[in-house]
Amino acid sequence: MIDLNKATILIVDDAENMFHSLRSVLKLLGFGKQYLYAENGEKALKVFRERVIDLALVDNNIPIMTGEELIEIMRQDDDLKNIPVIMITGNAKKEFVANVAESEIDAYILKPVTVKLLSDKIPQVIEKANHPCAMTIHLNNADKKARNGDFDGAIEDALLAKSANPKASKPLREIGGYCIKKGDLDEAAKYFLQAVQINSVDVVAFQYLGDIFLRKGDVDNALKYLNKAMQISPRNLERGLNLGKILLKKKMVDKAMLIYNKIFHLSKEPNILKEQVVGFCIEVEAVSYAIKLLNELIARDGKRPDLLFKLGVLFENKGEGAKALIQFNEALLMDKDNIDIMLHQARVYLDQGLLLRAEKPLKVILKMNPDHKEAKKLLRKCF
Amino acid sequence: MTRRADLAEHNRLVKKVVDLLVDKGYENIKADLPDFEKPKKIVWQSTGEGFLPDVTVSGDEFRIFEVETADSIDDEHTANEWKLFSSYAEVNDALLYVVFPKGSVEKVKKRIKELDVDVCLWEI
Repeated sequence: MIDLNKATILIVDDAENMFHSLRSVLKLLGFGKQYLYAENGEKALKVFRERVIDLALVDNNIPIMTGEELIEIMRQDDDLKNIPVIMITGNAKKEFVANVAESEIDAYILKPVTVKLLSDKIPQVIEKANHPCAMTIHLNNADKKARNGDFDGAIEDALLAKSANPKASKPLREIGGYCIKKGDLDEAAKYFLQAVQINSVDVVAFQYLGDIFLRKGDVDNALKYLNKAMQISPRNLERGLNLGKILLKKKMVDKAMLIYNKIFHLSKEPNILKEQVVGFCIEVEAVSYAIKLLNELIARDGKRPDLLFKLGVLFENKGEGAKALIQFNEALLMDKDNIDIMLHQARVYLDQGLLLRAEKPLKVILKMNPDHKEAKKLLRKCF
Repeated sequence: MTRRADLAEHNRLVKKVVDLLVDKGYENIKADLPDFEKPKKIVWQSTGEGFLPDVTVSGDEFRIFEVETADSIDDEHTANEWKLFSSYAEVNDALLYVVFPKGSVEKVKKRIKELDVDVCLWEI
């Protein structure tokens, strides 16, 4: 049981003056006895693991990881999952609300934070933590059984949770998850479909549906549900990457590009994702898009030999030898002993009929590795 | 290009091949040029019919050089020569080079693909 007057409250915000302001208001309201401060998600996790925290007020816009990401980590950690959290955010958009549902934040407060908002929300959250509703109790029981491998027992408890709150999608989503663990994908899909009928922004259920259909090889339905999940919550990059890969496999490059552009825009490190997508493109032979992305990466990141080499190989495979040679030659200026690049350079020279030029890189390779079979084979053609 | 001009261009390229081979150190060069020992005629075993390669060298390996001008690449006669010489090269572990002037590589590659022959390309 949490005693609000004696509670230890952690405030997570990169602006320290916000901590002082909130602490003053909380003291004024008589909420809490001890107040702790963390300026980012990483430090907050350290405090959560070292101290007993009764309530956390977390700003969503914090460094290293967002407030949402911090809470997602907490909800997957047995020691931290039950700590009540109130999210403070300036974002009232639909997708944010969907994310709140996804990471199971207890409540959120829209900025500007007022005394009234705090005096309303905090007691509600503590009351909910001290006296969980019947649905939460059944779901907690289900979770304990599932952790012991008793998925049938977990489903029974989750069905009780559903009876306790027929308007909530969460029990159905949980049942779906237990069915997956049992290996019954059809039954799982049935429950996830019920969940999205109840809650049309249940992004987790949509994602599960996408994954299930993907595992069943039903690409069209997988696409349908993963696309829906992305529309609701584009922040989960992994979902978007999977969806884009499916589209690329189906040769729907234009649609894949739309999704990837959105992901690159949302990501803090778009170039890493772009390199990942280049890999997908090469895998499914979406050569033109791979070339476009590599050109963007080179323009932004500078001329890295590995990127130039990849671009060269793509041109080589497209039969555009002259363009390939430009990339290989530039890559070799920076990475002069790279055997792979020299080998490709020599192959293109031979393919272009430039026998005398092919000779040089092949001889360099054989000087470095006299037993290199491919170089020996190619050099034979150079007389 | 007239037949005579084409022949002159062909002979100019053959001479260039020979010069480059001499530069490379080859001694036993046979070429279909005046003042050179002629290469041995290569023939189909089944019919006895065949063609004279433009240049051959023998040393560590036997190499056949067939020179084309931009205008001869698509000739029927060229196709017959390439088929015979590539077949000979395959059986005898030799190498066949199709030699062509600058700017003709795509035309040569297209022809090679059509005829499905295994050759080395040499642009001079």
